[in-house]
Formats: sequence, C-alpha cells, structure tokens
Amino acid sequence: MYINTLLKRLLLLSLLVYQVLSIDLADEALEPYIYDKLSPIACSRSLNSTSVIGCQSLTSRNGILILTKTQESLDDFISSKRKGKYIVILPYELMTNKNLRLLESSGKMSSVLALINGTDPNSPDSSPIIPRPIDLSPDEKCPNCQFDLYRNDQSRYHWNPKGLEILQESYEFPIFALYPYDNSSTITYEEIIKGANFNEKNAFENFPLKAAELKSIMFAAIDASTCLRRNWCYPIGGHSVYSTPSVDINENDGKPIIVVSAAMDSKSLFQDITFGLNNGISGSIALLAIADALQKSPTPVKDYKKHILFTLFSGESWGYSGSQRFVKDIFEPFECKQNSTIPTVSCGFDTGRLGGCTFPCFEDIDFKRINFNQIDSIFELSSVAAKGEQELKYFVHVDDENNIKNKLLVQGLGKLSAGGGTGKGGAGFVRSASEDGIIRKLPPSSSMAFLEKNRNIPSVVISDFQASLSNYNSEYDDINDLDVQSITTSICSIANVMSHAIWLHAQDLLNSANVNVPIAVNCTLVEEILNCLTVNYSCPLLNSFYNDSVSGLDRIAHSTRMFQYSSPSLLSLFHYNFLGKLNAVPSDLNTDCVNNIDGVGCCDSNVDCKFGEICINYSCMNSFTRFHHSYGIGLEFNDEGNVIVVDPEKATWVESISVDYSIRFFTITSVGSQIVELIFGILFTAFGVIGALLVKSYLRKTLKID
Amino acid sequence: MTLLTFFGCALTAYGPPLAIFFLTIAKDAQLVILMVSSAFFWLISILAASSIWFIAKPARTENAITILYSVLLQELFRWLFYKLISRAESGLILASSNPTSPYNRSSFAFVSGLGFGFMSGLVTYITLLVSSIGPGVITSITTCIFILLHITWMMLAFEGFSCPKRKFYYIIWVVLSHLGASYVTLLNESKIGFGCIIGILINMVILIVSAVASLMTLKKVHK
Repeated sequence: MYINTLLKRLLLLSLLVYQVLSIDLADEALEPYIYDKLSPIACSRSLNSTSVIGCQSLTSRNGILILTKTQESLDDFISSKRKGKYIVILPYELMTNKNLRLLESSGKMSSVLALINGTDPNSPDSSPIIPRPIDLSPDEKCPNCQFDLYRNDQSRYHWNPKGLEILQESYEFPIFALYPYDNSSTITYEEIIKGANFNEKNAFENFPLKAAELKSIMFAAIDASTCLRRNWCYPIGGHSVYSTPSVDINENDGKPIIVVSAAMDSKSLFQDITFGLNNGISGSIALLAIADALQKSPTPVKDYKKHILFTLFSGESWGYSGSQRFVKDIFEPFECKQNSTIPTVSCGFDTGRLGGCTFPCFEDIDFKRINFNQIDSIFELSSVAAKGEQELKYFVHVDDENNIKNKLLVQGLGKLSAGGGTGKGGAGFVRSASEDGIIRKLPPSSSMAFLEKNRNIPSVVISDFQASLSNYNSEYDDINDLDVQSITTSICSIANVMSHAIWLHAQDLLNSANVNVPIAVNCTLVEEILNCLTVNYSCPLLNSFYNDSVSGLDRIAHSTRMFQYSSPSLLSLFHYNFLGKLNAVPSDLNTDCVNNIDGVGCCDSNVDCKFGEICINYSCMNSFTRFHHSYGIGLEFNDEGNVIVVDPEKATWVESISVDYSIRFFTITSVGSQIVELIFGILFTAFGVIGALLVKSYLRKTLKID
Repeated sequence: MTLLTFFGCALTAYGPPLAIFFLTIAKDAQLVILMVSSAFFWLISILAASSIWFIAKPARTENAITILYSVLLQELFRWLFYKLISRAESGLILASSNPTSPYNRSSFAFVSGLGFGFMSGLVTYITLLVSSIGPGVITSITTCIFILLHITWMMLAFEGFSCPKRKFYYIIWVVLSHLGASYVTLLNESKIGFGCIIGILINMVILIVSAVASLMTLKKVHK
C-alpha cells in the first residue's frame, strides 16, 4: 500500500516537473523563432439554461490568411476548389450568420478574423481598410426579448431590425477581432493584414505563405447549471449603483420615490473592445449630470415631497440582470438566514461591521430602506448620445399610452423642451415616440423590471431613436475626437430638460404653469466625464476616484464580464464614487485625506468609517450610495458560496472561466516541400547506412579491424 | 500534415547515427553498456551546466556565456569519463570479444563518443522536434553533425589524454572546435543572410577535419 502511494506521488511529481520543464523549454527554446505571438481580441463562450452562445474550439486552428473584402470575393472563396485550410478575414459587415455557416460548411475555413477597424497599409494617405458601416449591430433583431416584460406577448415590436443575429449563435471555431487600438493590437493587425496581402500577391500558390494559428479553448459546455457544477463557468454580472440625496430615506417614511435610471454598460461580440457609447454610458453620463444639477438646487432636493433615487444598472444586456435583481431584492421580503460577524469563505464581507448579511451574502442590507410600493415614477435614460448632424430629437417611450400618469410625464417633458435645447435642439425636441401613430411600447430598458412587479408605475424611457436602435451592442458604438463636442451638446440638452422635469416632479409641479426652474446642467462637466470614459482614461477625474491605482489605462472596456463579490468594475467604481460624493451630506470635517490618510475621518475602505458612512477618495462620507450585485435572477449563491440555477426561465447567463486564447503568426511551407523534407531525411539516413558500411569495410581492409 | 516534417527532421537528425549504432555497436553488449554510461556522463555535465544557468539569472539570456561554460563542463566530464575508463580499461579489455586487438581503446572511445553524441542530440533537439509537429518548420542537420562530431572528439580526446605522452594539440583542438562549432550555431538566430547555412558548412568542415584526424590516430595504432 505504502509503496503504491509513494509511486503515485512520484509519478505526479515527475509529471509536474515534466510540465514545468516542457513549458519552459517550449517558451524559451524555439517558439520565438518560428512563431510570432500576437495578442488576441476574442469572442468568448457564454451559456444560459437554454442556449449556448459565442465562440470556442477544442483544438487550435491554423490556416493560410485570406482577406475577402466583398461579398463577391467571399462567395468566390466559398465556391472555389482550393485545397487546405484558410483563416478568413471578413469585414464585420459581412459577418452574417448565413455567411459564417456557409464558410463553416465549405470545409475550407479554419477560423475567422473579423475586420472591424484599421488603416489600409497599401494606401498612401492611410485611409481605412474598409468603409465604416453607418449602422451595424451583431445583436438579435429583438434583443433580450425572452427576458423582458413582453416575453409572452403574441406579437411584439422588434427594435433592432438590422441586427446581424450573430450574438446569440454558437460557433465551434475561433473568431477573433482585428481592431487596432493600442500598441499590441496594432502590431497584431499589421502583421495579419500584411500576411494576407503577401498571400494574395503570391496567388495563394507560391509557398511559403503566411499563416496563423488561433486558439480559443474553453471548457464551458451543455448549459449553465452543468457548467457551474463543473466549475468551468461563473455568472456574468457586475455591480449596479444606487444613490439618493435623501440620506435618511426609510421604508416607512411614506414619501414617494422618483427613480432616475440608466444602464452603464454594454456588450458586443468581442467583449474586450466593447465601447457602448450610446447604448450604455451616454445615459449614465446624463444621469450624473442630472444628479449634479439637482444637487445645486437652492432648496436641497431631499426636503421635497418625493425622494429622488438614482439607479445605474450593470449587466442589463445580459437579460436585464441589474434591474431585475435590484427590483427583486427591494420587492421581496428579505430574510437574513445566517449572520456571522467574521468574514466567511463564501461571503468575504465584514458583515458585522457594515450591517450586512452572511447568507444571502450582502455587504449591507440598506436596499431594504427603499420601499418598492412607494415608487412614484421612473425616468429612464436609454441611449441619448444623438450623434450626427441632423436636427436633435429625443423620444419618450411608455408602456401604456393610455395611462394618464404616463401622459402627464410625456406632456411635461414635451413642454419643458418647448424652449429648445442648447445648440441643435429645436423647440419641442423631446417628443412622444408614438407621435407617428404607431404604438411600440417600451424599447429594451430597465423600467421593465419595475413594471413587471407593478404595471401601473408611471415610467418614461427617453432615447434618441424613435423606431429602431442603431449600432446596438456593436463595436461601432464608439466615439472619435470630433464627436465629443456634438455628443456633449446632445447629452447636455436632454439632461437639462430631464433635470427640470425631475426637479418639478419632486415637488408635484410638473404640469403647473410657469414655474421658474433655478437649476441647469453643467455642460463642462458632461464633456469632462465623456472625455474621461471614452477618450482619455487617465484624466484627473477618474484617477482621483481610482486612487491613482490604474493610471495610464489604454482603455476601459464598457462590458460586463464575470461577477466577483468584492471587486466592482472600474465603470461601476467611477459611478459609485461620483454619486457618493455628490449626494453626501456636507461634512464639517475638512481633513485633507488624500495627503494625510491617518487624519480624522479618513479611510482606506468602508470598514474604517462610522456605521453607514462610505469611504470615497480616502474620506468618510455620510452618503446613501451603495453597490448592488447584478447577475441573472435565475442564479443564486448557495450557503457554500457556489452558484446554482434556481429558475431556468429567467436570465442565467454564465461565462466560461478557463480560457486559453492565443494567436500565433508564422510562415507555412507547401505540402510538396514537406515531402521533400521527408525524402531528404530518408536519403540522409540511407547515406548514413552506406557511409557506415563503407567506412567499416575500409577499416577492415586497411587496418584489419573487425 | 506536418507529421511529414516531423519524420523528415527526425530521420535527418538521428538517421545516420542510428545507422552507425546498429551496424557497429548494437551486436556487442559490452559496447552498448559503455555507450549508455558515457551518455550518463554527458547528462551529468549538462545537469551541472543547467544548474549554473538556473542560478545565474542575469546571464540567462546571454547565449554566448551559456555556451562557454556548458562546453567547458562537457569537456571536463569527457576527461573524468576518460579517467574512469582508463582505470577500468584492463578489465574491459579482458572482457572484450577480442582482447588482443590494439584497437580496443579506439573502439571504446568510438562508442563513448556515440553515447555522448546521442544524449546531446536527444536533449538538445527532441523538444524542438516535438514542436515541429506544430505548424512551423525547422532544420535538423546540425543535430546530426553534432552527434558525429562527438564521436570524433571522443576519439581524439582519448588519444590526447592517453599516457605516457599526452598529446595536448588533440585536446586543444577538441576544446576549441567544440567551442567553435557551438558558437557557429548562434548564426542561426543572427540576421546575417544564410546564417544557418554558413553555420552548417563551417560545422561540416570541422567534422571532416576531426574525422580525418581520428582516422590518422587509428592508422598510428596500426603502425
């Protein structure tokens, strides 16, 4: 027995040593001379209870690079009689599900590189390699429809009619993006495009040709619950943020609540380069500007008839994870089943200190201070960036046109915009979305989660589109330096109208005539935040909140990835800190905590502060601003800290954790030359045999050696 | 598809030495044992070299330095192996198939060289060969030349070490040509055009010179 175990251990040890050695050798010996390792931007695999989406392959795929710029050249490639495997570089516009499936069944395609951006190396004035599509969305025609308010409706409106419908498909081959945005992605892009051009010059016949190997290995399979049980997956989610100037808000205070809401993230096929400017941060920037304007009200807004609650949801693109979970938690009675004063393995919070709960795991349970039944109305900012030169218009969407309270909100907003916006917004630039007589109900929005529980809550969703989404969940939902000014004007205009409406509505004055509104949105602030979140990630505003720990970032991906209890994404962190500081009760303490962390009222984290206070930029602040977990409401953590599927009908999105992405670039020889190598080897051996025999007989003859 | 390359490279690197092994040594158990023990000595030398490499972190990427000490260590162990063999020589000769032959020492040197060469060929090339199953392509002639070189070096070195009259010019030639042949492989990664072909040619010249010199030593024994 003993020897048996000893042997087993020895075997394990030697395996380990072998692995370490082989990794070292492979990395240091030859790799760099044969392969050029490039940095991948990958499409990853996600699962829910009923579907598998995204890309993966269980083996690495290699092939000769070929660029098909047009549909004709793609068709030619598919119908050609070429031999061997190819990596097809496709302009994003051609990445329809039909094209991808045709390529797959042609047997000639090993993997796909999506050409999204970049300059043409052959062009003298470095013009773009492909024309930029005006409107492209990889998402479904009816995004997230199986999880929203209208999921059981017989006929429903499709908000994304131009969607390529590739986001919900599952591809068993790697798809990487070519999108130069930083040093390494630019190198990747240039090598690949140069290689493809080189191959074209050599007509794909004159070897050696340029090839690549794409690896996108993930073990996620079958469905969410299987994958979670196998520990290959983790929930997709993040941290929503809620905040109110009413620091004393209480579920029994009887005051109605106005919810001002926006989503702060987006998604796309290639999560790492998700920008989500319009669908995503445009609404959250407007929300921050509104919060800032309301904070400057001469009478503090917390003294008004109604509370104003700001909610910024995360993970909305994944089955409305943020809003549905928030609503579920404030709507359902909460029972803390277990409370330990020390952090446990399954719940890492110091719940005793912060008033939270160990199971279910919450850092604090302050969300219970929000009474769902007191929600008076919802103002939601959808995509409000309104890019472009045309006349500025915003549309107000409602669920029920006939709800009298909805009508009042729509009318109120229309009336407030009668004076025009700042810049290109004409008089009455905020209109009812159904002004053309078509009832479309709500576009994809967080309000649906609230309406699910109470269909009568008056709620308006404001967006820059009337009938269809543009660049929805797309890599092209981005920004260039030229846009900043025009988008600032747009966001500022709508935020101004909204802040007035909310200010009035909080006092029940929305439809009273001629009230002078003494607040205005600070357009400089809008521009600053927009700049920080899109162009200059190292701006002082962001860095002050990140405590300088992440300066010099090339990019913050505005996407939701795996949920981790205690590490909010940079985007959530920024919104939390901004609102937290804004809505804090002004403090008498004037300690300069940034330079003197040990001063009175200074902190490193919430644990250092008084009960109920939060730590922002090293200072303790009395602010009712909190994070709230957001992951699909079909998922729950059990008391051991493992995630299980509790309702397969609801959103249960999980993402594969074990990922091995890589892209290697190399030169490939023809099969002919490989056969020559083999023949050479055989001949060389034969030569060795003959040589040995000759030398032997020579030695025997001349020296008499046996 | 690159399985072809794998077999091509494997045959190029190990084909001729294997042919020599099967045609000359394989049938004599004593020589096979001798070959394996010399291979073991080479392994010890490379263990020492890799320990130095592991400890001397800053010099890890300096291939020139690594080559210098690993070649010198190999030569040191060649000498130690010679010392061991010369102690056991009388016994070995007694047990050999032809105890009266004047060539016994030369054949010991020959098989020891093959052992050295095989082990170095395996250790230095097999990982590269495995990665050739991947999509890339590499050259393998150098490995073959090195195995053959080790045979001649061992024969020359034994001749050089042998008492009573040590022939230092043989030893110097062995050390210098070993160093030279190793440094020439650095041409593979240099940016000089046809660097690796020049390297292979130089190594071939060294091989021919060493082989002729080994033959001369045999002829001397004959006289």
